[in-house]
Amino acid sequence: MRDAPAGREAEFTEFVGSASARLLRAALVLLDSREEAEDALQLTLLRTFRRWDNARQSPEAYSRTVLVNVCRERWRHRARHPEVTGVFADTGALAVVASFAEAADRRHVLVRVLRRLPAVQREVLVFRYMLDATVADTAAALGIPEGTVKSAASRGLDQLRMLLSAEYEDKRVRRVHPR
Amino acid sequence: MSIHADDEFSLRLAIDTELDDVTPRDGLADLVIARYRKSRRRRFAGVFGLFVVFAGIGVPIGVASTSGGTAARSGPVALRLGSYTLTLPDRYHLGDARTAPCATGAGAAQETAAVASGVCVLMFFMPPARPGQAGQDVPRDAKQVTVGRYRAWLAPPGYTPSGDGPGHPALVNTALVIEGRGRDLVIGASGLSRSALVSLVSAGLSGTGVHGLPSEPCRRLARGTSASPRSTSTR
Repeated sequence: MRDAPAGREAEFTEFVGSASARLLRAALVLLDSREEAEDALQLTLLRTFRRWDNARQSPEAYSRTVLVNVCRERWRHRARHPEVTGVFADTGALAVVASFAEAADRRHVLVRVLRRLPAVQREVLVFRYMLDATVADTAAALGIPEGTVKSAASRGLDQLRMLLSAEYEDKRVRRVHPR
Repeated sequence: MSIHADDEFSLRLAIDTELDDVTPRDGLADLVIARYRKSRRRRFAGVFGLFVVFAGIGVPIGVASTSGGTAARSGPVALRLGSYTLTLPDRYHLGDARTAPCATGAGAAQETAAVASGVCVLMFFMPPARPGQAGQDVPRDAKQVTVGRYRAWLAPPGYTPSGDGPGHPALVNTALVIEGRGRDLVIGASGLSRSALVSLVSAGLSGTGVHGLPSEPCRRLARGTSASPRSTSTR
């Protein structure tokens, strides 16, 4: 028979193996970069493990809620401490791509478009379509009414279609008339 | 996969396809558990450190306040025995009557002591040679002095008075016997010169159990007659 801490850690390791990829992708949409997403994922898992005795009943729901809170903390932090832009403005090619991770991000058209959505719509779409949360779970985790979840999902999808259309139209034009 | 508004829209499938290369690093669970252990150790160390700090501050204060030490006290120290009070400068603090360096070990009911750096002052009652008669045990060559308002005898070097209760002789190198009603009061000191003891007692002794001057014995002293029927025992 395993002792309690070892059993706890084994359960947690199993949960991380099954859920971390989805949480990371959700964090990638909610935040601005791969680095930020990985940091947020680690913090989410750490907070979940700290309260594992509570979280073990439904670790997916618990970690989803923690993730959205971590992301909101980062948004607030960014709002209070805006980054100084323009430091790399004149460094040529280096300014375009700051890291390999960012270069990889640039390939993710859908993620980029999702990031352009308003925060509530983005959170709702992430919860509903990436983290497989129900309307009720999404409402509870985000602290909004279920009606707001439904309307935000609907508007978000409409907005997403529109933005994707514009994105592909732009690409088609560029392909026909390269600058 | 192509994602376009005109396609049949499946956001979940599109996201899964687009982000299938986004995977967490290997050993993430171990990393998180190690981070958790580290933070727990730090938290424990912080709590333990706070405990040590508070204990380091609180224990000396507590000890000082229970033993009358300098940390919790300010102002002069009053050494009390019976109806006598000897007020000492604030560098003294009350000592345990049983364990003070100069005590006889008779206990708090019999004697009281105060200590300062290198100095121990002890106050106890001398047993009367006859019931109700004081001043029977002062050595022959004791020097009579006036200490403030009171008459006293300054014991010669080597005199070691004993208290009223059980215990060994007081470990003092200077002793002053104050004449009292019924029983004499002995104030002894180690680490003080005779003149320093006289001035300390002159400045600080008060009480209702001692004769004030001019008293009958002192008037007789002033006339040049024997002050009191002193015995000659020297210990």
